[in-house]
Amino acid sequence: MDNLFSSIMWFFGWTITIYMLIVIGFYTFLLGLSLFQIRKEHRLDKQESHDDYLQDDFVKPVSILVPAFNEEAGVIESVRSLVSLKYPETEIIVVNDGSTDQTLSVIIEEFHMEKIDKVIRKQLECEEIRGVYQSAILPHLLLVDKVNGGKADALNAGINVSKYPYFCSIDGDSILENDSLLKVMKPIIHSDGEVIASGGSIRIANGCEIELGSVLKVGLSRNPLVVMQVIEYLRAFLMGRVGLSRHNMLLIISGAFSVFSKKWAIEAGGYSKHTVGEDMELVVRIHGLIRKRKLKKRIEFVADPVCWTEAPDTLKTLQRQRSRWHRGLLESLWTHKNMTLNPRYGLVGTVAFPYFWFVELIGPIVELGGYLFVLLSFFLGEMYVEMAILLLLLMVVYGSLFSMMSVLLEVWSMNQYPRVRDVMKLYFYSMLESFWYRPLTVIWRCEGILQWLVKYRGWDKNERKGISKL
Amino acid sequence: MKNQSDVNQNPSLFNHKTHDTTERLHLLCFCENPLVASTVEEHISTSEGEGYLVCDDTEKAIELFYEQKPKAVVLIYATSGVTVKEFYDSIYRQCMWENIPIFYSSTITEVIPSSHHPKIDNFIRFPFELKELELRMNLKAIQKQSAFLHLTDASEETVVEIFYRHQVATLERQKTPFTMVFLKVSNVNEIKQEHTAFIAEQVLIQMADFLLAQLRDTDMLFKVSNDDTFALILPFTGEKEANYFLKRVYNNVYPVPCFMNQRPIEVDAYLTGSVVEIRDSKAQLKEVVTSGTSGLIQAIELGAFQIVPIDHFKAPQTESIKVSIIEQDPIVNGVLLNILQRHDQEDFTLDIKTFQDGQQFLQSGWHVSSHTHLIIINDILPKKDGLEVIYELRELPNTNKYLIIMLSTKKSENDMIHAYELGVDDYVRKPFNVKMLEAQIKRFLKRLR
Amino acid sequence: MIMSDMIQLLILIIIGLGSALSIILIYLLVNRLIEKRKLKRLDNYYKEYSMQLYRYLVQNEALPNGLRATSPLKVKAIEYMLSTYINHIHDQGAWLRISQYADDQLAPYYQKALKSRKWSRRMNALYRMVDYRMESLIGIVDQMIQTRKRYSQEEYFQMYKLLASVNHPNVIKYLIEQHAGLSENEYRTILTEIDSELFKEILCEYERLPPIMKSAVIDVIGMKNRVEYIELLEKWLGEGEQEIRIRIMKAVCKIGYVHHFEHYIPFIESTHWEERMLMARLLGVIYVPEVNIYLRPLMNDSSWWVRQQAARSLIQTRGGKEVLEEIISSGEDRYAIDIAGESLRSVRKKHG
Repeated sequence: MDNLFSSIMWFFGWTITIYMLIVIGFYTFLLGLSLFQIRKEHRLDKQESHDDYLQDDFVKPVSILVPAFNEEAGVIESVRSLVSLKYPETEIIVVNDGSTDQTLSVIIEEFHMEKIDKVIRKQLECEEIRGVYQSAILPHLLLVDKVNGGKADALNAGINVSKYPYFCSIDGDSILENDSLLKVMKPIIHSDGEVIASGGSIRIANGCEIELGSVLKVGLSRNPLVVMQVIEYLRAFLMGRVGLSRHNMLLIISGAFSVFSKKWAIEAGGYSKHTVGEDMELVVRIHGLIRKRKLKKRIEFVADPVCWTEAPDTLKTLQRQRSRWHRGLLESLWTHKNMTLNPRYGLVGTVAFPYFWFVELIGPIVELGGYLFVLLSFFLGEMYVEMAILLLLLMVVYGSLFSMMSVLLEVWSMNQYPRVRDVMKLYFYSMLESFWYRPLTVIWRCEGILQWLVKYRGWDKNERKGISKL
Repeated sequence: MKNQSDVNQNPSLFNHKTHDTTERLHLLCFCENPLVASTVEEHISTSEGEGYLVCDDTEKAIELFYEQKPKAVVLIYATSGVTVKEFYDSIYRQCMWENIPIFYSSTITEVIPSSHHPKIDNFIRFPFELKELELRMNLKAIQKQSAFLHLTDASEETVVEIFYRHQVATLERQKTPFTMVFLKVSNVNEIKQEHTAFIAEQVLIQMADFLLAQLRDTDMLFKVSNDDTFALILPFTGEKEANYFLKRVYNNVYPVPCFMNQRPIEVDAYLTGSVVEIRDSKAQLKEVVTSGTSGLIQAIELGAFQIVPIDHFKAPQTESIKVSIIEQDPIVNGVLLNILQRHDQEDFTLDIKTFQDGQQFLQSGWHVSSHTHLIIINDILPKKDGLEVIYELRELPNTNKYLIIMLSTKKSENDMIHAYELGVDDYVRKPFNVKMLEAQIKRFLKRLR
Repeated sequence: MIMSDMIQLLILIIIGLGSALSIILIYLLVNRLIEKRKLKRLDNYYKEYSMQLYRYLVQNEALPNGLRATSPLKVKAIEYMLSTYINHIHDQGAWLRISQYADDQLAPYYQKALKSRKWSRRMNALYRMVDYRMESLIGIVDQMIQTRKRYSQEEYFQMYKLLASVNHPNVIKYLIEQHAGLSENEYRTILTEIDSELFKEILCEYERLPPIMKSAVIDVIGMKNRVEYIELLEKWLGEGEQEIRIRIMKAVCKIGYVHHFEHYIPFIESTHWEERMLMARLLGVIYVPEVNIYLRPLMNDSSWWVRQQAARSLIQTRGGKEVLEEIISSGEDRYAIDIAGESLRSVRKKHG
């Protein structure tokens, strides 16, 4: 009995260890890719290369879609930041998704919107559009008022109204830096349309000084939960996506800030209303289309265009967000499960899909097991305790190392945190991550898987505070 | 004495109007005391004609005045003038209202303190000839008909002064000058010598009518008091245009038809004048008249058909113009500041401020003032977009004081068209040419002069 | 025993990683401190030299000693200021002075940077040389292109651009013979830099150009409104493939003038909707007698784009509005009626 138990423990321990080694190996590989890329562009004057495009008559015009459901607190700021974008030709389409608060009237008043008569080409299914408004001051600012149908539905409505060949989706609570759109469009313009979608970095606005849609000063929040998310975002974007993007294996470009070719998005069926991860779902479907048509098209991630967004700052809201995200991930993977390990889908099928299944999706379950294992070991004698403590230490050190590497990558690429104090803060928080934040997110993510299993499909939208009040 | 007899002899040109005497009392004379009254009555009765009333009692005179509404009132002073003042005070408003001329007369002196009777500007020496009085009454009547106004030393504001004040206000606001022209018949003395004073008088009256015919609707003609000087106010007119106007007048002037001894004769009248262009909004009417008439003296010395320009009021009041530069980039901000500072010139003091964004500008309250305000603004600005700022400025009352030059980073033509529609005065594409922009700003500022 | 070995190994790994972590921390701290000082010094440079630079560039004053490029950081500050000038101010005199200044003061720095092994340093130097139209290093760049050493596609783009901006005759040869993998957009940028003499030479070589460059040449003709090449475009129209034809029609639409209208007539009935759409657009911008005869059938086209464009063009042409009204009143084609109605409404709205 005792023997059996110890051999189960032994097996369990080794499984976790091996799993961890594989994951660590994968992360190290991604880190290597990112490091190579960012080191290459270290100190490159990026401003210079963007100015080239601002001058050109052939810059592709972009429709910017802002789905807004009950965003009265932040939507004005968001639109302001979009109005002051440096880009030759844009239209900004705010889609009021049947808000129950003052979103509609706030925008109408602020920008002197007037109702216009517009024939809409219904290329994607969406709920009924009640009216289209145009600003008297800024003619390229439109407001679509429609019956509530969820974020994906609002985006589809925006696509129907838009007139330009590319669209950029921005969350109603996020703001863009004035050159972000140009930066994120650069691969598309540059590649003559070979790149059909691209996404930029998301950063957390909490703790920054923001006024009327402009980031005045970048800073770190005092809230430990927010600081942890800052580290998490840096890691996700600078390490993960830079590496995946290099080999066209990107399965997620964040819906908070991404550009798509309208033609491709429509052919892929637009945003899906049946998932909470509609951004990932669209990317995966476009990948499928590309492979099916055997075309040389790419989806890219660009690290330097930055979109500032409001991060949840309480445990409850963060929990909702994380379990929703994980549920969305699982939904998309499940819907397209036939792509997994399917050589017809190239690297996406053979590498990206297994990675997402194995590392991203299963990760929290195995980690949960790991935490349980460590806890159990304490009750099971010293031999395991030493091992467990060391493993834990290893995790802490390795985790912090990844976090610090991502801070380093940030310093080498965008360099947004010039203060010594901020860097120190990031360092110490990343040391502590494994002791409280990581277990929490692991539990939340497992919760997401559980939700999916019990067929829970709600959106769980969080309250917004408005980005300048964070 | 010779002149007087001439007047007597000639039934004047204007006399044909006098046969309505029966309907209205012709003349009310008020004397200070019965003694004077009797001499006056005596004097008047010697000459023919009816409708004359002489009175020495204040109350009775007032009663008579309001009952009869005479065509003119003569106040005859003898000693203190207290009762005359009393009478005058109770009737002068009515006189002004009904255009009844008031004459005053005295044996002793012409100088009766103007404070005493602010409205009286017609002195006639006592004893006077009725004919002369009638002639002057008719003159008055004609002046009224042709809206021919007088500038007097009166302390109350006359129509002329109101009109002038209006011009100055317009000048201040719109920066367009106006001009005053002073004219005189240069050979009036010769006419007097050659013919009679009465002919000269006729020439002046006809000249007034002639000048009135030359004017535009907005112009104003009046006579400078106690002088045969005509003065014109030409709104929205510079010296150049005024010179053309004068030349046209000189070309059109024709021999004036007059009557002498019931025969028509033609008298050549030679005009000469001075022109005062006014750009200085602080210029007082009296100063302008003084320098204008002194210019006239010069002109008369030079001869007929002269134009003497007076440069005294040409320098505009150094005005402070507000300039706002709203541009995010500090270096461009500095360049613009430099262009403007270099351009600091004598006519203006430029009061320059720079702003980083639209919100900062609008919240500063800097734009809320009556100053002319040149705004150089970028189209894309953080916080509040350039177009929004312009929209808000153009919604304000009196928005014409803002001159807006927009610097653009956007390039599409539709953006430009929209900017113009919103009320941008000029649109400069980036990268802009420093010299070009400088020239544009210069032109703007010049237009303000 | 295995277990204790493992533990020892783990300890070693942890120590190793931990020290790596500390090294990173130290690096970050030092890096931040240096960065902070750098930013401060840069800021001081801006404050100190921006006025001097203005006077030197715009008011033609002599070069003050302060503006001599003495340290890399100062070069950085000056580069930043110069770039602002170039981006915001267009002044031949000032630009000339910038070129002179760069040739005089910055050339040694860039010459060194071009030889650097770091890609980003070389790129930065090339960016700057293009911005300032530096002529002094043209020879070196020309050599770089000719050497066997391969540079990145981005570098070739900047090098060609530099040669084009000074109208270097070799640039045509490189563009045609060296396939550096430039994108169409990049070709376009280079071609817009070239003056008309060189451009004519490229036109002579048209047949030899790679297809991607052919498109770029046509685009540039349209973009710059070069009416003088319209006959050439019409000649290519007959020879080219569909992609080229579409480009040519787009360019002609931009120019708004045709020489031989009969060359275009067949495309009204093309099997590709894009060609029909472009024909509809073309008919709206050029003068053709009885233009509505051609436009009327396009209103019943199977493609939404063609119908919409035809309606827009009809608004522009004489008697076009009547045609649209007639379409509405005839009540035959629902799709045509929708489009006609929308176009008419939008026009009415614009005119109050």
